[in-house]
Amino acid sequence: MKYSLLYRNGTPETEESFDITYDLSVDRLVRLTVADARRADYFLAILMKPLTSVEDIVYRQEQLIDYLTIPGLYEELRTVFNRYDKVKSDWREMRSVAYPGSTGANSRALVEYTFASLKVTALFPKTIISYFSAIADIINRYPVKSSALRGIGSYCSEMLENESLNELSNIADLFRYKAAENYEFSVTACLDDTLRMISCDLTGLEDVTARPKENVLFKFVGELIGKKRVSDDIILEQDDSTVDNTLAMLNEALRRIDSALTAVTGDVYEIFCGISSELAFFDAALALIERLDEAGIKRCFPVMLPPEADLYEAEELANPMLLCEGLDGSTIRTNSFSSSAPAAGALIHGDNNTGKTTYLRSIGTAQLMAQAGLPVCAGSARISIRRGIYSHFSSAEEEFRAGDTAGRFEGEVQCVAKIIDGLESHPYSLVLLNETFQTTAYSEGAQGMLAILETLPAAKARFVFVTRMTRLVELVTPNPTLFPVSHMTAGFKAERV
Amino acid sequence: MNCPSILYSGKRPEAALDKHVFEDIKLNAFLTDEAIEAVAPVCSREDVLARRALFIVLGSSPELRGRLSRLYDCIMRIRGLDELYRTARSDEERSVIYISIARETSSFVSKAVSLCEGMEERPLLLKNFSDAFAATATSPGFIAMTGALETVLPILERFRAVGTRILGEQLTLTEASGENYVSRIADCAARLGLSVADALRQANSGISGAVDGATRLSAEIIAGIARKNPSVFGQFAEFHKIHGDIYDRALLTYAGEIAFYTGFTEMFDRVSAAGIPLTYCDLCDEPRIDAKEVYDITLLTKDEKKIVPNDALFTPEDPFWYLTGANGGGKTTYLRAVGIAVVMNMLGAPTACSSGTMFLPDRVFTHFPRDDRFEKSGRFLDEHRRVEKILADKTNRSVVLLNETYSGTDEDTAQRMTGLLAEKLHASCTIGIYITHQHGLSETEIPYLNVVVDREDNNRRTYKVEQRRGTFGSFAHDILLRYSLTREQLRERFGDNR
Repeated sequence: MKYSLLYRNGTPETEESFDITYDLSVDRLVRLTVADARRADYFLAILMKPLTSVEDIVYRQEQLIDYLTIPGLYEELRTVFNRYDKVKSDWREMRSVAYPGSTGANSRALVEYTFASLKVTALFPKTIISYFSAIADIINRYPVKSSALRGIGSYCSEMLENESLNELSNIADLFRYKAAENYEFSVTACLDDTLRMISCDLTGLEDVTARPKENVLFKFVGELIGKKRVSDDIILEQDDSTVDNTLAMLNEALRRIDSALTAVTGDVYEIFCGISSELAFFDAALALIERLDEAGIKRCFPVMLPPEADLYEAEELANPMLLCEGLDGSTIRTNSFSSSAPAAGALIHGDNNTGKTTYLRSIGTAQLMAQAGLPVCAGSARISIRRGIYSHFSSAEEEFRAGDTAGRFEGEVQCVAKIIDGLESHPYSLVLLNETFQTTAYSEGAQGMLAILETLPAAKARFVFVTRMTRLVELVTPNPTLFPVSHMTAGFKAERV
Repeated sequence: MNCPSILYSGKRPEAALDKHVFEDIKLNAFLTDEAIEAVAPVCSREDVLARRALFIVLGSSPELRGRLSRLYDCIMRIRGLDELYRTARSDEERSVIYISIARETSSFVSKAVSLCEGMEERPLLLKNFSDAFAATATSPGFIAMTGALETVLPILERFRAVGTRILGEQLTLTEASGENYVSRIADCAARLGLSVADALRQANSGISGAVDGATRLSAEIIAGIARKNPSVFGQFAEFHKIHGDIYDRALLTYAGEIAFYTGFTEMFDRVSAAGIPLTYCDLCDEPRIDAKEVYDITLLTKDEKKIVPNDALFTPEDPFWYLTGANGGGKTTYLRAVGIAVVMNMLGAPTACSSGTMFLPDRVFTHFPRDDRFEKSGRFLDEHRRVEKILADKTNRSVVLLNETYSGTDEDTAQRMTGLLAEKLHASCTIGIYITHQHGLSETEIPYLNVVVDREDNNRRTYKVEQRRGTFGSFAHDILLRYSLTREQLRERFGDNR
């Protein structure tokens, strides 16, 4: 088990990434609002992996609401989880300096090294228990509502009362305080059919410094009258080979305890390990929200719907990227956008410099932010989850992508082909296209594009396509029942035609 | 103990394939070194047929394969024990190890006797094998040994756990005792619901019977254990003294022989699963290879899904061919496919082709670029020496496969030497192929094979090989069609949305 603040059911083993932040210019916005470059990169990486279930999105939304509404909560959690995540590196560092002495790898040195390592390992069960206590204390002190934080708080409280964790801590304590030479170890060696040792385990240890001293007079009298302790034990000669075996047995027994304690302590530790990294996402999200609020841009947590609802409705939708251009809430024009069945998508066309691409970006950015559990820049929004979000933005600066023999058009075709491949495995996707296929003769481009757009409904994909190809608009228009498409012209306000 | 071969019905032949041949055609991907060593001697036509009979039975009897595989496991255990026995440092240790050797030998003999159980007709090689061990199993000495084993084996079990106390470097042997700390930690982990608990319990289960990774105890410790148990060790010594001559090290030679059969049958499974045919070619006397749809099955090890087959035709009229064409077009693959077909046929195995007739060469020679074979004299001289050796050893019933030989020198020399070598081989009617990039070899009697490039499909490599001169060129095509984005292609993929 491993807790995650980003994923309700733990971090998925594989996550699909949709690299559209560049096309939408979301990367510029993030770098403007998040000062720390590594944090910004992490935030962008999460944005590129949109969540695909309503519950997962709400899981993040609830936490953001807790952090926004409960002063001090976020800072305290960040501090404690930052420290928690350093425990492992501290552990590694202490182990690396546990035995700085001998350079040789003889048996004695190995035993000393293993015991020193075990002593370091033995410190950490108690350390981790103390963190559970601190985390539970913070969460129980505030009126948190999010299921993520409440789950963490409950888990910590349960662990603090767990007897097994305390027993583990007690076993570890046996090795914390004294050196190996202070103990007599009882070791059971397991042998194979050829009398070779295959494993050794510690079954007991006795502190010889705490043994009562033998009374010399009693011993002398006992020997005089011929009384000796009767025992079947056999004390062996200490030849080199036997000493090597002896130390190897002890080393193996200690090593097995060390690795068992390491494995168990590590497993317990892993439960919250990495949460401080995940908090970087919320750090960046809070910085972005703060910036939006400062600029007076409306925001709201959208109502998320399952993919099958196939709906996108947003009022007063704004493109937050315009913050990078020095605009603010008073100067950024907002638009509404609505798309639902039976329309296959939206075709946006109009004169140059009328805001077509800005509008496309505001639609895409809201989808991306919504599926990251973030608020969107709109007065209100109801948005269906998309299983994939794809984009192709043609630009004059775009480099040729198909090598020496291919031109720009081939580069575009390659990108679109990849998108189409993706749609096969991702029904209910969103495809954002900006002036695609305008790098060839418009008539040919329009024909090619029409075939692709007509295919998208079959893949249950919805598109928003900004184009200047009037031929395409003409081709789409004549048969609205066969291929229904919302036409929009962009001006200061996008209008449905 | 009589240990007849399951590869050769008579004496093992002296003439053998060089192990580099197996490496060059990559058959070592399916065979261990010892299996290669076992099958390298070139067997007679009778043994080829005898092995075929055995492979046919193996192909239809998973049970026999299982038995053979268990026999192999047994031999491997005996080999490990044999090594320990030969290096034992005391009589006590030797006696204990011999008990395990005797147990495994008894197990091997029993498995060998029942190897063909339930089979209506036993292949000759297996018949010889199981009959010989049936005789061993009924010999008085062997019967006495198995009887004595029943007494000593349970006693040996008692020495699985030895209790010790360690103070500093002083070791005291005592009684083994109770619960260990690792099991307590594992229990805690289980109660905490940690995933690591199972692994810890497994690691803590103690005796795994591991042969590797175990540590030998000193003679003093073993003597100590013996002192603690004098009567028991007396019984072990007695067992060794009476039955010590039953075990025969000749058993170890079966490791390579069985590995050949098990390695190849596993490979046949992969080949068949990939939809590639396996065929026993008709054998002919005259030097001729005429096989249809020959596959390079070593590509399966690279998870290649679609292996393109090619025909192989080498006749007394056209025995030797140049093979040229585009890089990455499949020249080496073709060379390997032919080499594999020839060698597998020689080994008595089915070949990966749809049909064919083949002779049995007396030797196969390969010459592939291989950096690690260079000697101090440099690549060209090294190549030349290897060529001279091939020319000296080959006969008119040999197969010679050359891959870019003489590519390690200047163009003029390479062209001249390539021409000379190929002409020699062609003139002596040697069956073979010479992959070369040398141009200007056109004035020759030697025919050409060429890898086919699809001009209509952006010079796509088809991996087909044809008898013709090369053609080259680069072509543009309809871009949307190439990326499967035409209306028709999209409708085929996603259905007609109308």
